[in-house]
Amino acid sequence: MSTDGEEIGATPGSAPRRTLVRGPQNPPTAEEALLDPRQGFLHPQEERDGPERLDPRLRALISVKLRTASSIGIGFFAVLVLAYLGLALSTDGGLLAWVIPGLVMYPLIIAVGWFYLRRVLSYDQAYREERDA
Amino acid sequence: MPEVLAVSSTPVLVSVVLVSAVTLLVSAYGVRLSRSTGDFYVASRRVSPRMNASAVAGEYISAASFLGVAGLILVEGTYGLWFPVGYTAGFLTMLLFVAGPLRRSGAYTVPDFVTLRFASTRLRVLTVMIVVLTGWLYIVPQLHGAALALSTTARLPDWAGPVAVVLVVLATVMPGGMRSVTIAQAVQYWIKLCALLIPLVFILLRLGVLGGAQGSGEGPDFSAVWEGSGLGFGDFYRTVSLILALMLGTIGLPHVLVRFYTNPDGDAARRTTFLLLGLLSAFYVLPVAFGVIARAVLTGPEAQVSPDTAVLRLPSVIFDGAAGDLLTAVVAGGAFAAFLSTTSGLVVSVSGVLSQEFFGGTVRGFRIAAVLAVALPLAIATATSHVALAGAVAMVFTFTSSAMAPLLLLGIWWAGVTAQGAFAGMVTGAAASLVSMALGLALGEGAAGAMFFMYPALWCVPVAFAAAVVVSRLGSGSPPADTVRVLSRLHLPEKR
Repeated sequence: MSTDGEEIGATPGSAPRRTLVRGPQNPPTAEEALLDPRQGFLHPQEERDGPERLDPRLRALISVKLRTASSIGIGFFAVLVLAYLGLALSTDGGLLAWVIPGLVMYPLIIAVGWFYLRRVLSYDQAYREERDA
Repeated sequence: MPEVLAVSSTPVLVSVVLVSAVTLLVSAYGVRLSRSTGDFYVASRRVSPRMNASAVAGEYISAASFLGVAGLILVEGTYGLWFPVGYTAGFLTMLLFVAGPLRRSGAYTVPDFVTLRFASTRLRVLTVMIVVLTGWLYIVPQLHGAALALSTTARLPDWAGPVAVVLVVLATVMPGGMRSVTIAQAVQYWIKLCALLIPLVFILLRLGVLGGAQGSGEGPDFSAVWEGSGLGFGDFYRTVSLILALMLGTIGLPHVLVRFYTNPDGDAARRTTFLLLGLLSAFYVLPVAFGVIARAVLTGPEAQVSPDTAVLRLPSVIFDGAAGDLLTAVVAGGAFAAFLSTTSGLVVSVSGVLSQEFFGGTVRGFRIAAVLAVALPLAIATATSHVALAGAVAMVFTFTSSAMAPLLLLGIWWAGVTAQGAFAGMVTGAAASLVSMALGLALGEGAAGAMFFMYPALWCVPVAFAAAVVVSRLGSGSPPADTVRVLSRLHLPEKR
């Protein structure tokens, strides 16, 4: 990523020179746009020479994450639908029809999110340990 | 034309100017930190989860959340309660399926992600069109909300609110891009929270709910709110379709997605999303409480007149004189913060995409694109009349859940999806949802079968997924050659 600027206060033989920075004038390159230096495992060269098939350990990691996420996502949607049906069937659903969607659902969403975050971080950690072993 | 409130316009104008001034000052601070193209587009990917969660919440809580939810509860009762549940659950979907992998893609924008994953120019162009259309469709209700709020509380003409929002947003976005917008949006979340919380505490004290001394006259009868207001099977299809649209539509909102590119890594993006669940839950209890109180207090025929102004009306209905004026001003200031933060997020995302596509991704191009991003919505908002805020935003969620969710979910999680399949899913979802909603609006809400067309997510989303899967499986295309490498990048955990 380059920046255009103009030298100010420069005299012959003096160093370093001060540069007035005007900000970037050029677009980011594809490398800048699509590669993050913090990507630990993959680098452009590795990617060009990389494997054609997913590493079995990585495939297993993706599968377990997808299974967990799908179970929680579909399960939570089902809970919402069943809660609605239960409230619609209830003959005494007046107050509950307000309290459940108005108050009860929010702690439930946070709890489900916390559960998933813990699980997925532990999956990642187990993958790192297995890979580094 | 909405009813004008009998409050002094001076405190409202002071409040709006104050919110604008705080936004501009905070943005100016961000400009001092903004030094590179990376700062402009993704705040150099160094935004912490706490800051980013506040910024996403600030951006996400729009006119529909701040004003629309309470109005919907006032008019439709328990049906309105499912909107904030769906809004919040949308970020559960984001946490489960999108946040971490999307951040690890390293993209600047959604079309960048599509290029990385599918290497298809045709699909990238379609994504650009969908992102820009989504942004424009979402900005219009914000500007309608601004017109409504300022004409109701400050007696300004209808064009004044949208023009004020656009001017402040451009002044915020153009100098510092994502870097300055991030800080401003984070502050705006807390402004919005306080703008509802403070009046709510005073209102509850006044009504005796929190044990305070009740004012003159009898308090409202809350039992009348609960009684006879149970859920019915008639609303089942509408509610379930709405929840699905909100849960999946959130992951297709470009202004929300672009914020996850600003986190340092995938884990930080996940933590941001989890913190968001807490911030949104804390906020959404407030408009729900306002809606319940409005249903108990605004029992006359005026309740049906412009229900989106219920939050603005309540303080002056419950308090007389200066107290009512001041609390109305606080709420109006919070509403203005909602219009500013959501619009600025949308402008940043649309400008980023337009700039990358048409102006070479330069900072100058970003600034030109920012003007283009607001020009058409401003023209539409000033030329059209106000529609129900929550309903208008729900339509945008329906559109993104049908058009964007299949692309993102299959692109992140399924190695077998082809560019042709993703294209087919996107076109099918976008066309089906837009045609269906247009048909529903043409039929009118009371017509037989109108609900099926006005809330089409329950069938549009599966149809879009099916189109993507069938074309990927049976079409002539094959998955991109570097699918394995890209999926590895999306799912590999960061080094420790």
